[in-house]
Amino acid sequence: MLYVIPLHNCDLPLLGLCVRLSLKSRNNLILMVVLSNKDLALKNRGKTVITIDMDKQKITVEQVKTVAKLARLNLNDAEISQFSAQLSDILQYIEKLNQLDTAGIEPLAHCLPVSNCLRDDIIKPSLGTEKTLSNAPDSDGRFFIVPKILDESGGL
Amino acid sequence: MNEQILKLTCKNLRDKIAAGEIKSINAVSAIFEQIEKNDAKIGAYISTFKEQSFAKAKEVDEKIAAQKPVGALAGVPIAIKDNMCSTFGATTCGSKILQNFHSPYDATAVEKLLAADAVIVGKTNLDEFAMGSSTENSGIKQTVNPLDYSRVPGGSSGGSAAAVAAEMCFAALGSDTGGSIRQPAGFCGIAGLKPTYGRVSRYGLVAYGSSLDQIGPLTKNVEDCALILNVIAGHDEKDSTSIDEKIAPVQDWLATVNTKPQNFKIAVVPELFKGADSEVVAAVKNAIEFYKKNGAEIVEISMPHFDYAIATYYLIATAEASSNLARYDGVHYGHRSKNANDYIEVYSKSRDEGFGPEVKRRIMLGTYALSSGYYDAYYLKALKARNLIRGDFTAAFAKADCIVMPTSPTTAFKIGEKTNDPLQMYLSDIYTIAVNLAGVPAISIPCGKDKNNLPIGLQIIAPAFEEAKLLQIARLFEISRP
Repeated sequence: MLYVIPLHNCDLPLLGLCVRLSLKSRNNLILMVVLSNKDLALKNRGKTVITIDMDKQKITVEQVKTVAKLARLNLNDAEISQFSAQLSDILQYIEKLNQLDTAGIEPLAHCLPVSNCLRDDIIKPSLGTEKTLSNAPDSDGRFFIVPKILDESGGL
Repeated sequence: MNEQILKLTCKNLRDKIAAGEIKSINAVSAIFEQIEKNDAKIGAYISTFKEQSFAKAKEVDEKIAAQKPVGALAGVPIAIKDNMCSTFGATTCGSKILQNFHSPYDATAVEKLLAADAVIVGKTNLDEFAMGSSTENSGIKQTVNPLDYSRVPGGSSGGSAAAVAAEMCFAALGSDTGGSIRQPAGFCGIAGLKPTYGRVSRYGLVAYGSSLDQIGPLTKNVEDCALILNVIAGHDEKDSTSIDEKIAPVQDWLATVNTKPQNFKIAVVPELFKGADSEVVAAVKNAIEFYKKNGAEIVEISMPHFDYAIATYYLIATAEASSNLARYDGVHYGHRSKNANDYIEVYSKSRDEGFGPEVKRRIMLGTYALSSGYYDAYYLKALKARNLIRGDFTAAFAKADCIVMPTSPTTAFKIGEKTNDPLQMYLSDIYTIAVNLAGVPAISIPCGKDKNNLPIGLQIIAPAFEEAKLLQIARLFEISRP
């Protein structure tokens, strides 16, 4: 029997078309096809058995790029392809929460019966500049140093 | 002499040191010989503190010789997981991003160990930022299972479990967010206790999932869990989630651990046995049979929401992680990329270069779950599911004193077996994760071996703050075994 499924969790960089054969069980030979993007899938439609519409995934390559930007992670193309497949898998699994009826259930952020833990407002010694800066990648002994944030025109 | 020392439990060693029968310096010396002989293969430690350990041992030995008072762990060599801040050595958290981070302060749990006169011999390997179930996600090194070098020690406190099992320390601290103390304890054949959330201060524990993280001991037996818990438990004004002692007083758990529990009820959840290997199920059923013969009433219950724990956990823990790990910005401490051209790249390239794949995956998942348009569907839904899961525990504890189930569905798996399939790796935490969502205490103790001679973990779960009963029930089983 032939099955066509997305190749998840692949160590190889998923650039271009990648086809891998693997024996999943004694009787079934499984053909795994992965395409890194939809354009490529369309371009190669005639050449492959079946193309996989990446848009059907839980999370698309474009969404992964947006999330990476929000998370300030400079991911490369291979990581983006890999994450879109793996995160889709995980999100697919997480969908099972939709089977739960949570109408009228309070969200639980903290499981113990405690609230408003206040301590006396007393000034105590803090770490001090030297210790605080001791692990800084760049500092002048008084401040953390970072690249300039304002450009020459004064705009952000 | 060394071999005899290494076989001792924490409590035995402590008693012998206090009585002047063994010198701390001999115990430390035996431990370092063992580390030097075996750790190149096992890889449990990220860093060790030989000079400092001998100095501390000497200090303790002198105090004892002069009949001065000493702490509850006087002279006992102990290891700590490398996600606890210490002013000695680096605090790497198993990550390249913190590889050269030297904490300016000690975690409260570390301070308490030192105040109890323990000798901290080293800091142990872990999955990067405690994210993983096999210690394979460490950005620093590989740790193997001391019982079979081709297998994982479990995780994320894999280094701590391996160090205890290989007699390279007498006990270790770990942290448990979804099973990270109990599962490696189970895989390495030792005891591992996750206390009630809030029982031990998290101050100085590098944050992963703040509403789930808890520090606890990995030890050779249950008695030692009680001893270490005595030392590390308690309210800390530096951690507002550590529990007020008016609500849950610190007890002398060591004093009560050997009391035989009377008239106790154990809940079992038959539907949960379906997912485990037959040898694991058989060993756990044997343990239940033992309890039945020793006075326990066995109550069969159902936990209808248990099956949703993994999905719930991987939304809540990753959401918290994505927020907690935003602090690694290449500015204040940790790795800064040399290739950054502007301030945005200082963040994004430093983080890309410093974090490993599993950490990035979890940050991505958490960021997605919290992002606008998905928050209600994912994060809020998970918080509601969490309430339902906790409700299952509340209902169970209305009928029984504790719940017994396997720690893990399998024994230690092969290195590399699950690294390419994150979801499969997540599913291996099925029995431990719900406990963190409910905040209750649980312990893993050995209850048998499989055909490959690998240990099987028995998990016992108790209501919040009922560590005393939990330890007694676990101890009852332990002392019955050869």
